Amino acid sequence: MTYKKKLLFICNQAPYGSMLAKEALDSILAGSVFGQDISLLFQNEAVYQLLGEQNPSSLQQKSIEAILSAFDLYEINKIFVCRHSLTSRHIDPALLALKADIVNAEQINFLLEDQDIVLNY
Amino acid sequence: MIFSVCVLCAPYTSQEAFAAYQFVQAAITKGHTIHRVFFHGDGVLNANCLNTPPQDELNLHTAWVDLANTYKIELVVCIASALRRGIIDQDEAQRYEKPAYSLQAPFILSGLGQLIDAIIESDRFISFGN
Amino acid sequence: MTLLHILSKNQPNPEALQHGINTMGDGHELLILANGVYTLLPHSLTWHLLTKATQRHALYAIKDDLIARGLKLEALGSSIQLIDYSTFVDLVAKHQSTYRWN
Repeated sequence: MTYKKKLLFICNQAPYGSMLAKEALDSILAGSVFGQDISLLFQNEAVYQLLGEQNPSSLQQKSIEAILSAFDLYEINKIFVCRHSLTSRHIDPALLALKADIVNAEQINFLLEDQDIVLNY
Repeated sequence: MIFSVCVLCAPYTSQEAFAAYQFVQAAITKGHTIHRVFFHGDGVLNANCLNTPPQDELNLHTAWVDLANTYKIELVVCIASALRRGIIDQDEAQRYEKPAYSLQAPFILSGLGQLIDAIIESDRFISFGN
Repeated sequence: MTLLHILSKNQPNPEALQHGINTMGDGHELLILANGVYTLLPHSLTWHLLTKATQRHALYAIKDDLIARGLKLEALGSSIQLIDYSTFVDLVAKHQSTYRWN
């Protein structure tokens, strides 16, 4: 790959109820490994991925929280979460374990328009 | 224009599996180039050559095979998602000592780097079935 | 840079739908397909919201998805543009990227 694109990955799925949340994170890591400029937006059910104290060991699944906490090492640090998705689910932002900028609809618009490509998971 | 498409849902579980096919078919008809179709997550189940729907129902696997062979389209299946779901080619079946294989050409197994490459090399990218 | 917004699942919650509409910038357009067309059930609250949104943004729906589900095309109103996959391809070509509401 000879050049860098601005990629926005948008996660919509809650963790553990299906594999798609984890498989989306695999794509994001691939994007980073291949040197792309990654931003990440959590919206809809995906906001639950950001809750702390996750312990999926009895489900025999890997911890989404652990994967996300390693993102900083991959220089994935432009992380956003949809305010409406939080408030409509009555999630107190103080419960979020991952450092993320909370964005409203207008800010989501700006974020979208700033990208080269948007990937919807 | 150069398009790439990602399919995230299984046939029959979601209409969007067929929508992805319809989109690719329409893009080809309009003269666009399909750089790659990448199957990820449950989307890998579209590559299952053992799918045997009733004769009066759509066989989406066959439809993809015919489209790919006619227009020389790359159908790439995420190997990690595929192995989990039993979508394995002959080599992997032998490697893991499985009694059968479920994926063959024109579908091929590969890594997520092919998805990133598809995104970088295309003018437009769209996914179906999240 | 404009985006094609996509809704492919039903969204009966008008507040969530309005949030999606609020993310649309100038020149952005919305395409509804698959089970998303249930939001266009004529005279439903979601239909009203989406029809009102057409004052600012073009709204498209895959015609075959409405017909499949028995939604009356003649009751939809003229602001909703019924299209096929050929036009869907044109829309994706026209905009830089897609953004899914679901």
